[in-house]
Amino acid sequence: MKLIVTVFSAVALLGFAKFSEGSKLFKSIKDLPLIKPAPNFSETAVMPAGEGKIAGKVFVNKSSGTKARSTKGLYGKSASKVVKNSGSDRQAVVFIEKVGGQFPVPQSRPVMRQKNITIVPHVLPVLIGSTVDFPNEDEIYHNIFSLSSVKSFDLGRYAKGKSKSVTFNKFGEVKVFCDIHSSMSGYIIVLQNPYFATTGTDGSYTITGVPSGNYKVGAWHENGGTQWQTIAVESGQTVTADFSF
Amino acid sequence: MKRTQFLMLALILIIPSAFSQEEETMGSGQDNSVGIGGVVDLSYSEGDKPGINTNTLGDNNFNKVRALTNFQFQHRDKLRADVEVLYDDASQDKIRLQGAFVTIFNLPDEKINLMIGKIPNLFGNFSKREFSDVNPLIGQPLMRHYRTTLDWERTWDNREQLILKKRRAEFKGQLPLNVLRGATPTVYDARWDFGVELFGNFSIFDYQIGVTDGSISNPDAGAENDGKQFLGRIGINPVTGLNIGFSGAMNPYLSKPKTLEDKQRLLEAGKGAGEYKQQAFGADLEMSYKYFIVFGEFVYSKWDAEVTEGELSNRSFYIDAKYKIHPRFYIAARYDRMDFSKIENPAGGRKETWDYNVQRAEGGFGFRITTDATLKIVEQVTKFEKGSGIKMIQLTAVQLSVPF
Repeated sequence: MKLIVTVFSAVALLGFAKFSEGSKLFKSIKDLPLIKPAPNFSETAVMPAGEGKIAGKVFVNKSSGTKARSTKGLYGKSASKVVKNSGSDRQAVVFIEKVGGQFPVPQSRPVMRQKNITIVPHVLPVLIGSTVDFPNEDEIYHNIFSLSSVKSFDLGRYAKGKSKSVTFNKFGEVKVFCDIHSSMSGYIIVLQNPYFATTGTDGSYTITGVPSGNYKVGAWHENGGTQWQTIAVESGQTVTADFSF
Repeated sequence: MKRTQFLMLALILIIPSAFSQEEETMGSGQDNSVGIGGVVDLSYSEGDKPGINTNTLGDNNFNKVRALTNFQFQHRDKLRADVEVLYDDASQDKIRLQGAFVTIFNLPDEKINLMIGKIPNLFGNFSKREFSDVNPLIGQPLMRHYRTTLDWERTWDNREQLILKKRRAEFKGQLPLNVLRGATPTVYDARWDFGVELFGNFSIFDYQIGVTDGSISNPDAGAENDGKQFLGRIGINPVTGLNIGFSGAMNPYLSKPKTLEDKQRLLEAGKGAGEYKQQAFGADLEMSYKYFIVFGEFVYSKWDAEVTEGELSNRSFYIDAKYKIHPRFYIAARYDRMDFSKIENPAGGRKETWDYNVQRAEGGFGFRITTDATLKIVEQVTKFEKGSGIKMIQLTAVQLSVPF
């Protein structure tokens, strides 16, 4: 019994140590101060004069495939989804690392659905302080959870038509799974400011209303981590920043 | 290997190859996918007695190293081929082919799907939880592995012999003999069977019907006695999170004697091995809500045997529950028992159970080290009916289960 307790304690400590490392992808912005959201945010109201655009394309190598939860994958009585190389797997998020000012959370909440045994959208960028709704739109139970150091939660099982929500108050990447269906996975990317965009199916993106200035722009992809570029945004101009994973 | 089994394995190899050729012609890699997955279990236990959790192949969920590997080929959402290999460091063969089957989906829709090959057992609801990454505890329910005194190589022409076999252990002050030697379990989950299965769902019902070679207690029997097993399960889902199922199975369970001399010695005159059948009826329950999951099963099984008075049967049930108290922690427990029918003891003239009744409780908790890897710690207590050489076995174990 003593041996078992010792083994358990050692493994548990290792486990906690691993998770206290934090998200590698966002180390550069992880330590930014938490910004308290202000009520009644209106995007146009806070946009300063002298805005520009950032646009471009994110190229994702086709060999990058979604890594769902590891699973025995055995004895599945339903056809497991062929997730490799689907469009959503190539979805990237482009964002500005740090922009000065306060950025209140939008009134409309971001939504991550459980639909057709898939997490939709697969990648959801949100502003820090946002509360994300997780409605179940399937006839069956799902159990959404995450063990990410940014936010650890377990929503339990709930039926179709019901929803639960989680508020994200730390920057970084939150990997989301279903405890019942191992093929289901998704990402919530918690960002410091509202200047971000998700790429379209062709990889293109546009971030509008960016205040003039010099910025570090990051592109995140689930298999490639984060790539950075330094750019200068000028009033009325569009800056191009392409990325390749 | 019988011709039908050979044909099934050939099909498993040929069908995916045909679809692979189609992929090359189309020049697209998006229709087909191949994958490898599995789960590795590392366990350490104290207090285990030989055989208490072991099946006739030497498998044991508490064995130190086990690895289950699955090779999978999938063509769209239409077809999938699975080959599953099990490594167990203390089993007879170390490595064996656990399963190899092709599943054809949507014929034409989700109401009808087909599975063919060396397929998992469809009786009841535990098969889908037999792997360590979905079993909240470490052990298996008694009905799924525990070996009774009944021998699958002979029928018991003398009930005194059957009871003597039960008694022998108590004279030696050891475990019941059947635990130490190969004998018939009630439902044998570890040994997958050759056969065909149709499954699907419609409205609030789901169903599985199949024809396999062996019986649920001796999946190998069919290969030798030409018996065919008919089995099925129907499930009802009245509300989300609740499934109630009923299963039935019937098939010869005795392996065919190898020689004429064996036949004369082991079977009743004029009878073949195929005439001794196992009949089983099961009911199962799955219920979940929020952080709470409950599973339960009941099985009544009867074996044809030459017992002059009374029937050779047993009743077994278990109920297990898991509750998540934190995204990383859960607690779980299972209560389990198996009761045997009574037959007349010629020596004493009174009736007694043909094997010792058994009860088991297993409880513990799991810690999720990563999204996939789980560390479990359990305590298992098995109690035998009064008269058995050993009354109680207590086992403490820790297991690290790592899917890949």
